[in-house]
Amino acid sequence: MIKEAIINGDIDNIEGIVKGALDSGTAPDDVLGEMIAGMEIVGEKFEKKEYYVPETLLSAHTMQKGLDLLRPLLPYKKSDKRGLIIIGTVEGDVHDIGKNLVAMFEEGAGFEVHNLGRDVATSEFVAKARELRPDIVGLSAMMSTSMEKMGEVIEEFKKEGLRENVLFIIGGAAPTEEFAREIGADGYAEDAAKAVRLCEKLMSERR
Amino acid sequence: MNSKKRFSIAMDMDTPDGIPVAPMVNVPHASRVLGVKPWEYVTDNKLYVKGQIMAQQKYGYDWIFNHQPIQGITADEKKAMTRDKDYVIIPTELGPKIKIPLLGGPAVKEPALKDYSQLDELAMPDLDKPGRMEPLEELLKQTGESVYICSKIQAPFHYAAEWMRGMSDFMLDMLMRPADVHRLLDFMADVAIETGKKQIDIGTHGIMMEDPSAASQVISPEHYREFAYPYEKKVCRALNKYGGDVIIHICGDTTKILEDLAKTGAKCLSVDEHVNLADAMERVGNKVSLFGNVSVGTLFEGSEKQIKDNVKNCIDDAGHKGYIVSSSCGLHSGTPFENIHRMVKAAREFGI
Ligand code: B12
Repeated sequence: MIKEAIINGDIDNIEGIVKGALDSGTAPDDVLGEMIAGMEIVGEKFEKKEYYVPETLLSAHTMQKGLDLLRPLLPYKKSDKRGLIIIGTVEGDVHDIGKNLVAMFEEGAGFEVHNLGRDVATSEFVAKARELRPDIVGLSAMMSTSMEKMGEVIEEFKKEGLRENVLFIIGGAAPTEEFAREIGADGYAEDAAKAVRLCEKLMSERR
Repeated sequence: MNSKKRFSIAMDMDTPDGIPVAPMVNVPHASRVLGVKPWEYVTDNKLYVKGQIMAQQKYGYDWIFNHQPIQGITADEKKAMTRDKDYVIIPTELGPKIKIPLLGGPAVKEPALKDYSQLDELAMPDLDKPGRMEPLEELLKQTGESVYICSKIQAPFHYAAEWMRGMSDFMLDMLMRPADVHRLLDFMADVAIETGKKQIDIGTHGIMMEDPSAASQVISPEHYREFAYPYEKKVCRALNKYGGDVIIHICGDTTKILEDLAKTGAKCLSVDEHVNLADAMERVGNKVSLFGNVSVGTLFEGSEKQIKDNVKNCIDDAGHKGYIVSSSCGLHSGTPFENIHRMVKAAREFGI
């Protein structure tokens, strides 16, 4: 039921459904598991072009609404378990649809996410990293021109002595796996579902 | 045959003396041709006109793309604009704030509608404000005899999604409050129609209506038919009736919605490199002319041979009838001048 509600983006009823499940004795962790399973299917549907951006966003928002109910009941603070991510589209680039999906998927998977928005200046990434001490910094770029900024951000982190503390992941229509290696990023993912898996892998390697 | 004639014949689905060539020379490129910063070019109607004419003369292509989304800048907007070291921000008449960076083109910094109740307060922009239509008037005066002048309007769907509401919120609104969305789209259609009519009154030769947010990377063909198509059609039909010719441009994949686009009343479709021109010609070439789709990526960083081959492939696919060689989208900032020369040269060589 919970899984279906996520897949169908049943945002009006998700709270009732989650409450019902908890009342009938389902463990909060299992409810979360159901929601994540639902979101995985949404990711697949998006890849297969059964879902487009509106449907996918609606599912992600449904998940978020369910999570709001669930969070106080989970035995851990989400940031303890999964890690903290800051994510933004690099300077000069206003494409944010895909980046927003990634942010919501990561949040759905239990990460704490700070979405810095689009057209984010390199200095802003640095300032936020100082302030929030993220585990992961996500950079999005959709154009061959703005893609160059990704390398610049990583270089700036090095200069500021912050590079060792964070993992960089990149994505968007322009960059590739190879480009990620070239600029010294820690990972690349081609869509939101893969971005979640990537972050999970990076975090487990880190421990 | 002059450029204007050549372009018009191709628009009319016929075969001119050679295939017209019309790259989408936008803010980043034209300002570089002129040697000024993008924001200087956007915020000075005289510089804007000078840049467009200089670029057309430099490369010798067949049109001028009067591409400003809000038309010319007015004295009020100039006064209200704020400047930072690296960019300027201009509040536009309907509310959205646009940002013009050091490199690159204008983009929406802050959409206008936090809430749909604000919709009732929106008034039709005053198109008679001094300066608003100055670029078009000047372009027509200076080159309108010989070059095809095509002016931009924003399609209702794109204007509503990216400018008025913000894309991610708007995508959810489509599913959660479709009635409000249609109300907004109706208003944006009126804005597009009034703007287009004004351009026609002044004498524009053609109108390019841009709807990139309706691309199939973003919304499904079903949603396109529900939220974008009816308004594209409304605008095209109103402008047709008023004597205007419309090109619809969508950067992004439109393969699945070509037949719909061809039914809007547009005379020509500008397609991105995701669309195969041979396939498009076969499917809709009897209804509309086609415009496109030399890769902006290749124009940015391709070799001389790659550019030549890309132009040749486009022509081989589209044929000589009812076809205009263009870029797949607006040119990237930093696209080398030489590459546009190469594109024009190849179009002249293979377009005969
Ligand atoms: C919609 C769109 C727009 C909208 C954007 C609205 C918005 N609010 O985002 C508007 C109309 C504003 C726009 C403007 C422009 N655009 Co545009 N746009 C597109 C389009 C059609 C779809 C992009 C999209 O949203 N896709 C759907 C999402 C869900 O997919 P996605 O973004 O790829 O994201 C997924 C993955 O990439 C990944 N991902 C994304 N970010 C991240 C981050 C991390 C960390 C990770 C791990 C993964 C990840 O996960 C996401 C979800 O699965 C693309 C076409 C294309 N091929 O992508 C062109 C495209 C990106 N645009 C392009 C261009 C050129 C422009 C303009 C310069 C056009 C112009 N001439 O003015 C301007 C640039 C403005 C600017 N300064 O940024 C080009 C870029 C070409 C290039 N190689 O450089 C493209 C490719 C179209 C083309 N001609 O080929 N555009």
